[in-house]
Amino acid sequence: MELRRLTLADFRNFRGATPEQPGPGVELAFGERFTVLWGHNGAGKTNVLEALYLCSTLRSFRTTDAKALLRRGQDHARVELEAFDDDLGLDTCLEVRIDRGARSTRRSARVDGKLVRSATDFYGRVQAVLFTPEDLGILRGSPGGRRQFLDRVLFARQRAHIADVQRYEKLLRSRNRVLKTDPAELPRAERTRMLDTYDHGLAEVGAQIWDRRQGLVEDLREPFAAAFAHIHDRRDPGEGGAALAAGLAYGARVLTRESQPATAVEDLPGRQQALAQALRDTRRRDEAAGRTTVGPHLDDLHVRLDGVEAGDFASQGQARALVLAFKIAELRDAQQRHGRRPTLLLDDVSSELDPRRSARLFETLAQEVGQCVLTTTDARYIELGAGVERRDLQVRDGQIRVASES
Amino acid sequence: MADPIRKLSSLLARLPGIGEKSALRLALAIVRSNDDYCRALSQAISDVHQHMRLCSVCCDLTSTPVCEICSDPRRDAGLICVVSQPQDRMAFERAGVFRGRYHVLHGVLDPLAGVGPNELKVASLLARLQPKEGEPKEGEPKEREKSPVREVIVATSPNVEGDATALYLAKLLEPLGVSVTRIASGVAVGGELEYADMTTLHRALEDRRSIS
Ligand SMILES: Nc1ncnc2c1ncn2[C@@H]1O[C@H](COP(=O)(O)OP(=O)(O)OP(=O)(O)O)[C@@H](O)[C@H]1O
Ligand SMILES: [Mg+2]
Ligand SMILES: [Zn+2]
Repeated sequence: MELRRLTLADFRNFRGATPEQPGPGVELAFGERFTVLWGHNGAGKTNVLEALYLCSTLRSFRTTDAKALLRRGQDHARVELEAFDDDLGLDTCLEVRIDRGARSTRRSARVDGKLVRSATDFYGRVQAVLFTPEDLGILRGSPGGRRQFLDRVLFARQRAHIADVQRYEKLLRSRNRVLKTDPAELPRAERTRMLDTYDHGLAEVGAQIWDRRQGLVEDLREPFAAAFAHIHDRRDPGEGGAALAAGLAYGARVLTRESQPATAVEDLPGRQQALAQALRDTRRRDEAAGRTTVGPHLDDLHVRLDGVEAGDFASQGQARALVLAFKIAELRDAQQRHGRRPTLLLDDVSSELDPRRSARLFETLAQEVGQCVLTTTDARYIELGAGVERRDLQVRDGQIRVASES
Repeated sequence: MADPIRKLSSLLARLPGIGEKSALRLALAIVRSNDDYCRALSQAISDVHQHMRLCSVCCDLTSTPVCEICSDPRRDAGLICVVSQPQDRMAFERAGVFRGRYHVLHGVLDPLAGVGPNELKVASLLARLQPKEGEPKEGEPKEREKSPVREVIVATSPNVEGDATALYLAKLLEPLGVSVTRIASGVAVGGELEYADMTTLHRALEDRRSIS
C-alpha cells in the first residue's frame, strides 16, 4: 500500500470545515518515499502520525479513550486516507470516523465508502511500523512493557495472537482464583481437578504465545544486530572502539529455576509439554503464593549490548539506536514474509543521536525503507542525502503547508 | 405508592437484554393494552414461576417431575448431551439433530464469577452415570456393571469458560469409563450455541472429538 493523501477533520487540533475555510478539513499529500513533518512543539505532528496509525489499526498509540481524538468541543471527527493498493493496482480510500453519542463514543471504519463491520477486516490493510519516543521506555521499564511490545509486533503478523493473549489472561486469572480459594470451601479433590483443568488450558495457549514470541525474536535477531551495528558503528577514527554487539533473546520463565525440562525445548509440542510440566512442578509453591509463578505472563525480552542488559547499560543515544534497529528489523522481516514493506512512522526520531549516528540512521533508512513519514522540530535534523526523494511539510497550529519537495 | 409505571419498568429492566428505554416502552405498551391481555400475561408469569421446576433427572426446566425427553423411551439413554442452559437444549431440539438425552448444568465453570462445580448441576450428572448394580445371585461374586451411559457429549460454547467446563467434566468422568467428547467448534469461536443454526449444530455434533 502506498500512501497518497490524508484528510483530517476535527481530529485533535485539526479543524473540519469552517465558514472561512470550506472543504473537508486539513489535507496533506505524502511523498513517494519520505515525508518530513516539521514544526514547533505542539504543532500537531504527532497527531498526524496518530491519525495514520488509526487507519492502520483502528487504535491510537497514545490513548484508549476515543473522545480524546475529537477536536475540543466537537462530536464528530473524520480521518481519510487515500492510498494505492499495489495488490489490486487500484486506488483505495480508508476512512475512520469517531462519533460521540449519548452514551459512548464510537469508532467506525469504511473502505471505499463501505462500512466495515468487523475490525479484523480493517486492520492491517495499511501495514505500519511505528516508532515513538515512548518506545525507549521499554528498555528500562518492566518486563510487562517488553512483553506487550512483542505482542504488538506479533499481532501485526498474526491476528489470532491477541485473542490468545486474552484467553491466556482469563485462564490465568481463573487459575489464580482457584489457588486463592479457601481450602474449607473447596475440597482437595475438587481443587486438584480444577487446577488440572486450568493447567491444561494454560499449557496449550501459553505454548502458542511462547512459541510465537520466541519465533519472532529469532527472526529479528540478525537483522536487529546488523541494523544496530550500522547505525552505531564505533570503528570510527575518532572513537576507536570495537563494535558493540547488540543481542536479542527471549527469556522464558519456564526454563529457569527448579523446573528445568529434561530435553531441549524447540517446538510447539515441546513447549506445551515443558509448560505443563512446569505448572505441575510449581503447583505447591503456587498454592502457597496464591498465584501462578511460571508461564509466558512472566517471560521477558532481553535486549543486550555486548552481553549486558541494555536497560542498565545503554546510553540515551544507544537506547534510541537499539529501538530503531528493532523497528528496522521488523520492517525487513515483514518484507521477507509478505514481499511488501510496511510504512514506517517515526516520531521525533533524530534527537539525542550525534551527527554521525544521525547520518548513519538516515543512510540505513534510505536503504531499508519504502515509504516513511517522520516528524521533527527542525527539518535540518533530517539529512537523507542527495538523490533521496523527500517531501517536507510544515505543521503549524493545526495547519499544514508544503515547505519543499525534491 | 411509587409510580406504578416506573415500578413496572424498573422490574422489566432487570431482565437480561432489556435496557431502561426498552423497559419503559414495554411498560407503556402494557398500560395501553386491553384487560384480557394484561390478565393473561400476569397469569402466565405467575404460572411459569409456580409450575416450572427442574427435571429430577436432567435438570432441564419442566412442569412435570420428569421432563418429556427423559421419559421418552425412544430417546437413547446411553448418550447424554451436556449443555449449559435450557435455551441450548432448545436449540438442539429445534434443529432436531440429536436423539439422545440431555443434562443442563445451569451455568459454566467460571471461578472469576464465583461459579465452581458446586454451583453447577454436576452432582446430578455424576449420579446418572453410576453403574446400576443388579442383585448379586447366590454364591456369585457381585458383578460390577458398566455405566448405563456410553458417551457424554459436552456442548458448551467454545470460549474459555465453555472449554474449561468440558475439560473439567472429562477429568471428572474419565475414571467412570464413560467416553467424554466435545462438539466440534463448528460454532464460530467465541460464538454462542444458542444462536447457532441447524446445519452448524448438526456438523458440530457429527465432528465431535474426545477431550484430551
Ligand atoms: N482533542 C484535541 N482538541 C484540540 N487540540 C488538541 C486535542 N488533543 C491535542 N490537541 C493539541 O494538539 C497539540 C499537540 O499536538 P502534537 O502532540 O501532535 O504536537 P507535536 O507537533 O507532535 O509537538 P512536539 O514537537 O512537542 O512533539 C497540542 O497543542 C494540543 O493542545
Ligand atoms: Mg510530538
Ligand atoms: Zn429431564
